[in-house]
Formats: sequence, structure tokens, C-alpha cells
Amino acid sequence: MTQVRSAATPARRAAPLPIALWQLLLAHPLILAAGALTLVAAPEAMLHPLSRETVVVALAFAALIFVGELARVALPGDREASPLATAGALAYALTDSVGLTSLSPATTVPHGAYVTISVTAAASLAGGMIHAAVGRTLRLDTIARRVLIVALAAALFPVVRRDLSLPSPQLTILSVMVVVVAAAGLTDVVLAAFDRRWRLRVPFVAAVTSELRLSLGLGAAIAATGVLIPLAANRMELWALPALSLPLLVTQFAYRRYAKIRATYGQTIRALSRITEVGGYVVQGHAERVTKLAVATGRRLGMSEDDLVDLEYAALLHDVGQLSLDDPMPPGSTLTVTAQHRTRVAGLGADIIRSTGFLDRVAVLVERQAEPYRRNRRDSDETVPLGSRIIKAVSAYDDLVSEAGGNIRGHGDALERLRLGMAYEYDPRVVAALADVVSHSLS
Amino acid sequence: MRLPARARIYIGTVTVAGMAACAFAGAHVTYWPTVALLCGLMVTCDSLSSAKVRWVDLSLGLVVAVASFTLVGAAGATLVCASAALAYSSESPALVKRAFNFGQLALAGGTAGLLYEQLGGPVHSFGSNAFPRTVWVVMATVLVESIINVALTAGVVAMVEGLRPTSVLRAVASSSLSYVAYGALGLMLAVLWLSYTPVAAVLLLLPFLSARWALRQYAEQEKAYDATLRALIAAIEVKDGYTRGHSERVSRIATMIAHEAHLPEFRVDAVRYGALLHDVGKTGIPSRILGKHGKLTDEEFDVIKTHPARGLEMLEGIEFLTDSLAGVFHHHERMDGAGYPLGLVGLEIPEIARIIMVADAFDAMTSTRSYRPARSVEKAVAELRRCEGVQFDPAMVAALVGAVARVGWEGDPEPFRPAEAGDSMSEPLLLPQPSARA
Repeated sequence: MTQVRSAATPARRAAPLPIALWQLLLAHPLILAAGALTLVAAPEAMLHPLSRETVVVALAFAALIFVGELARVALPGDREASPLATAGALAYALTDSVGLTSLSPATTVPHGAYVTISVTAAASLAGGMIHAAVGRTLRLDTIARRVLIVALAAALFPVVRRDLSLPSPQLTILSVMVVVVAAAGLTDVVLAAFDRRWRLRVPFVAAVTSELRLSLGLGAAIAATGVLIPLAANRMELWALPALSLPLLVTQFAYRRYAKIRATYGQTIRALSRITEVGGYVVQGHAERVTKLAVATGRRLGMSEDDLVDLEYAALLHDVGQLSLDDPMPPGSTLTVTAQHRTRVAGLGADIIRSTGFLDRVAVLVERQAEPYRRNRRDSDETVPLGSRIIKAVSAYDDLVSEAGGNIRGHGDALERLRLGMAYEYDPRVVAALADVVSHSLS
Repeated sequence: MRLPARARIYIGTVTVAGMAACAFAGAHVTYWPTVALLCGLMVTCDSLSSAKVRWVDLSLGLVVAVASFTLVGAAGATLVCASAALAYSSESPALVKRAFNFGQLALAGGTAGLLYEQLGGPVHSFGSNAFPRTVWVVMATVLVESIINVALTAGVVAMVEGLRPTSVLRAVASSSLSYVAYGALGLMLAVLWLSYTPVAAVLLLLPFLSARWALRQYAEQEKAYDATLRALIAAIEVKDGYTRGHSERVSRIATMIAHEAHLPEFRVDAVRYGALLHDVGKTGIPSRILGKHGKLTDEEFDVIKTHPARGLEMLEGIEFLTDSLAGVFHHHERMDGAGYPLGLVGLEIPEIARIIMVADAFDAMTSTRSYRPARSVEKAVAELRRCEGVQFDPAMVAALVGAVARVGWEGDPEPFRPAEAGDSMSEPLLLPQPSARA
């Protein structure tokens, strides 16, 4: 039986980002800000003597944040979230103001925002270090965002508390907490969008919309837990932490499954895209390279996360129609064969994809990849989807670069050829974004 | 279908008894506004139909039910539990189903509520030393409610379809851990409701709604994944001129064998996908060799022999298929060691590959090829029996024979059709809909 394992060695996880740690530290404004904040807060927190109860509470929340950071989930588009850690940190910030009344009176003395920030940063970093130690990426960006929004929540609470009063004291405190946590959540969305603008050059408005859509469900669960822990702690003391983590853990479990099946789907389509290559119809690695560039270009043009997934699948499968041909076209020949032939391959590919019954949008992208973005004496044909335009340009670009042997001059020449085709074939917007992506990755 | 007479009497009795219980309870309710709010919450929660994936079953209705014991006592709880029967359901159950559900839910809720009060559970406010005693009371109440609930429903199923009482017990026992969780959550809901207005209680349910959304996405995505894999395999087969639907059929037979051989569920999944993809490496082989009539030269046969390795290379990156890869790589081994690519002998060959070998040969024999008509199932089985021990694993041949004898086998290629979305959404376990069909 020993041979079985040797035949089936699992593939190694690909590194998500080619950014070194020091680059992140130096070049990332969010991490800089959070780091500075922590450096100010930590000495302040050390200076003031803390009561024994305060230390116990701090340790309990630190443990929750630490465990939460360990149990993070992958979300679409190379995002990582640690719902439990963020909820725990927010809860700790609010506990500062609400107090744990049923503990001894000493704990109702607030521990202060400095302690909140220090505990959040330290526990998150400790969890992150464990990730780094076992070879996963240390996501300083998500940790930085957590520290920043926790600081905001701590600062905002007294202000809202002063200005908001409702008939019943319970309802008032609840509303204040909901308002504060909602503000923190929205800030997190904006910071995440800023982060993506910074790293991936996604247009800001598109980034905010996609962050909002992605984090609505999970964010609501995080916010609810962040509010409920301090409230329940008034009754259940520190038992509230594990008890109220339970619902959020269920949520996290569900998201993990969802993320896993999405990843599997992506991996499978990637493997199937290799079939045309193994069959000798297409140049090795063509689909993979086209996909990488197409997604980067689409992101640059502000496409939504859902559209990017469709674009990714369509780019991977854009040559699948070759399977239905009796005589495969010679490799790399997208440019030399007739337009009718290209249209035929695109149509055959779309038929195959459509037969899955689930990938209709992907099929449309593949179907229209051969069409020019505008025809003689007409305006731009708006019915040709942006994804199709991107695949058309990027696929031609990859063919040209492969022909030239992949050297730097080949990249420039290929872009120049695309620019010559901008009158009808290639959408100028797409070519400009592609040129930007390429120059960024070459430099 | 007409219900048997005793089933009709049973359903009628439960319904009437439940209605009587509701009427009696209605006269004794003290906290009407709270009862109304809880009923609304119950109907909302149960209308957002439950999503069940493997062991997680999110039935928020039970959480609300548990909270209602504490918040409004036995009388109120009867009404709150019964209101679950009003929940919206996408399959719009028949009136008789709803009426029965109303009755059985009211009876279960009412009885459990009375037990709760008898055991001294606090109603509408927690005394100074309510904990931890309340925790145990709640757990006992949840268990009793669930047992009555499942037993009354099982009664109908038993009369209409025939069902052993042991399976009811097993259903209760297998989900006892989730009852503990529901009990704890329901208690927490009550605490938050009483201490910080009902709004806080609704916040408690938010993470579950979010989880339910993600699980639905998951189920949909899984379905899409399956369909995509199948459709693309079908496209590849057409190109390489195999018999149409071969992979799909081998997958079906292999799954039957795996079930018959009592493989655990996750191994069955691995077999299903491995069998579906076993010949994927053939895409890398020139069509003139694959489609050649007559005898292959040694060189040509050597090329054919590369297809398991090519398949492995293609699928290696897919984590989800890790367990299936051995089946793809070894499906041309033989028990006597004369197979390829490694020439493994006997039980050295991975189980999954031994299953696919048998399924592959069985389908090859029972389907029509260009050079010969299809053989009958009996002849194919006789041929497998003749080669068992030499080429095939006797245990797997026996499993195939057993499965075919039990379920039968349709040799005709079944045209591929995508599954319908939403199939895998099963019913909430804890408030089961009786399958009484009027």
C-alpha cells in the first residue's frame, strides 16, 4: 500500500503574494499607522498599575483574540478574515466602557483604550506569528486594520454615549454599542478598500463596493458578537466569551466550507484547462498566463469580485473549444487563423461550458472573445462584455510574447502590436490597463 | 395517495388534541406581547428554510422554542411552538400536513413547558440563584420536547411508510449534542431578551443567519462543481472517441460497488470522482492511436500505457481529489501483477483502483463498441468471475454482483443533465415535516 501515497503527493500551497515582509512594513500606510499607534499605546499601558481583575479580563480577551487569529478563514480574492479575533477585540473595547458589573467592583474601573489597543495588537501578532512559523503568510494588513478599528471603537464610545439617550437605559446602551460597532465595521470596509487600492491598484469606489458586498454577512455576525459579549458578560461573567463565540464559530465553519468548495472549483477548472495543453492544442502554460494577466487587468479596470471569478474561469477555459475540432489549430495561432475560425472555436467552447448548466455567464465571455470591440463605422459595441474584450487582448498578447521567446523587448513589441489593433480589434481601455499591469509586473 | 384509515384517525387525534391544548393555553397566557413577538420570531426563523450540510443543522426554531419556556412559561410556549407550523415553506405542504404539524408541535411544546415549570424553571425573570440549576432544567426540557416531536412525527411515517421504532431512537440519540447547543443558545436568548430588550436577542441570531447564507452558497457551489466536472468530462470523451458516457457509467458502477463494500462516505466520494476521471489522461494521446482498429504495435501500446501517469499529472493540483488520484494512477494494474504502470500485486493495489478496475471492465463489456455488440449483464459477470483473482479482486467482483442483484443495472447511456439547484437542502431535523401525502 505504500505506493499509493507516493503516487498522490498533495500539491504545495502557492504563496499568495510576492511581497516581502519588510516591503509591507515600510510601504504600507495602514501597517505603519497601526504600528505607530501600538508603540504609543504599549508604554502608556505599562505605566499604569492594573488591578488583578483587570489582568484576568485582559488575559481572557487576549486568549480569545489569539485563538480567533489562529482560526482565520480565506475569503474570495486573496482575503483572509479572522471573525472571532475581530469580534473579541471589539468586545474588549466595549467592555472597557460597559464594565463587567457582576465581577468585583474593581473591574468596573475601565482599563483604558491604551490597554485595549496593546492587548489587541499583542494577541493578534502572537497568533500571526504562529501562522508564519508553520509556513503560512503572516497577514499584517488584517491585523493592522483590527488594531485601527478597535482604537476607533474605544475613542468613539464615550462620544456617542454622551450624545445619544433613549427612554430606557438598556436600550440606550445597546444602541450606543450598535452605532459604535457599525461605525467600526464601515471603517474596516474603507480601510480594506484602501489596502486593495494600495496593493492591487483597484479603483477605490469599486474596491469599496466589493468589500461591502463581501463583508456584509460575516461583518454583521462579527458586529453582533462584539456587542453581545460585553452585554452577556454582565450576567455570565467571563463565561460569555466561550458561550457567545459558539454562534460565530458556526458562521466561521460555514464560510470555511464555502471558501473550500470555491477553491476546489477553481483548482479543477485550472486542471481541466491543462487538458488542451496536454493534448497539444495550445502552448504550454498559455491558459494559466492569460488568466493571471486577465484577472489583474480586470481588477485594474474595477470589475466586481463576482465578475472577476467569471473572468478567471473564462480565461482558463477560453481555448476549450479546440477539443471539438477534428484538426487542432497549430499552437499560438490565435492571430494567424481567420476570424471565422476563431469565432467557431469560441462558439464550440461556449457550447461545452454551457452544457454544465451552471456557467452561463462564463460561456458568454468565451463565446464573444473573438469579436472586435467595434465594427466599421460604428461606436463601441456595448454588447461585447468587458471580460471578453480582456480575454481577446490578453490572449493575443501572450501569443505574441511567446512567439518572441518571452524577452523584455517582446513585451514591448507585443503591446505595440495591440495598440495598432485598437481601431477595431482591441478595446483601448483594456490595452491601456494591460500595459499598466505589464509594466508594473516587469519593473 | 389515500392515507390508511388508522393514519387518518391518528392525524385527526393529534390535530384536535393540539388545538385543544392551544385553546387551553390561550386562556392562561399572561405575557401576550412577548408571546406575539416570539411567534413572529419563530415563523421568521423557520421560514428561512434550514440549511443542513453534513453534521451542522441550523434549526433556529428550536432555539426560539427553548427561550419561550423561560420567557412566557408553558402556556405561552405551547402557542409559540405551534406557530412554527405557519412558517413559509417553498414546497407548500398540504393542509393536512400543516394541521398535523400544528397539533404535534403544540403537544410537544406544551408537555415540555409543563415539565419545565414542574422542575422549577424560572419564568419571565431569573431569580438571584437561578444558575446553574436552570441550565439542567432547560436541557431536560429540550430533550423531552425533541423526543415527543420526533415520536409523534415518526408515528405518521410508521403508519404510512412502515418504519422501525429503533430508527426514531437513533435519530434522537445522534443529534443529542446539537440539542445541548440549542438549549444553551435558547437560554442565552432568554437572558439577553430579559436583560436588554428583544433587540439584543435578535442580534444573537445574526451569526446563524449569516452561517445559513454561507451554507446555502456552499451547497449551490458543490452542485455546480459536480455538474461542471461531468460536463467537461463528457466533452473530452467526445473528442477522443471513447464510447459516449463511459466515464459517467463507470463512476456510477464504482459508486455502487463502494457502497456495497461498505466504504465510509468520504471514501465513496473519492471513488466516485476517481472513476469519473480515470481516463482523463487519454486526452494526451494522439487520436490515431486511440481510435485505431485492429492490433496495436508495441510502440503504440507503450504510448497508451502512459495515460494513467498523464491523468495523475493533470489532476495533481486539486486538493479535493487527493484521495482519488490513486484510482486514476492504478486502474490498469492486475491482481497477478501483470498490469501497468507499476505492476503492483494483489492487495498492494489501492482499494479505490481495485474498484475502478472492475467497474471499468464491466462497463466495457456491457456497452456497445464499434467492433461488437454489447454483452448481457450475466455474460459480463461470468467473465469477471472467470478472471477474478488473476485480473480482478474477488471481493470487488462480489460487491458488484451484490449491487447489481439488489439495484439492477441499466446499460443504456443516460444522457447528462445538470442537477437542479437546491436539491441538497434537506428538511430541518428538529421540526420534521411528516411525509404524509394526501
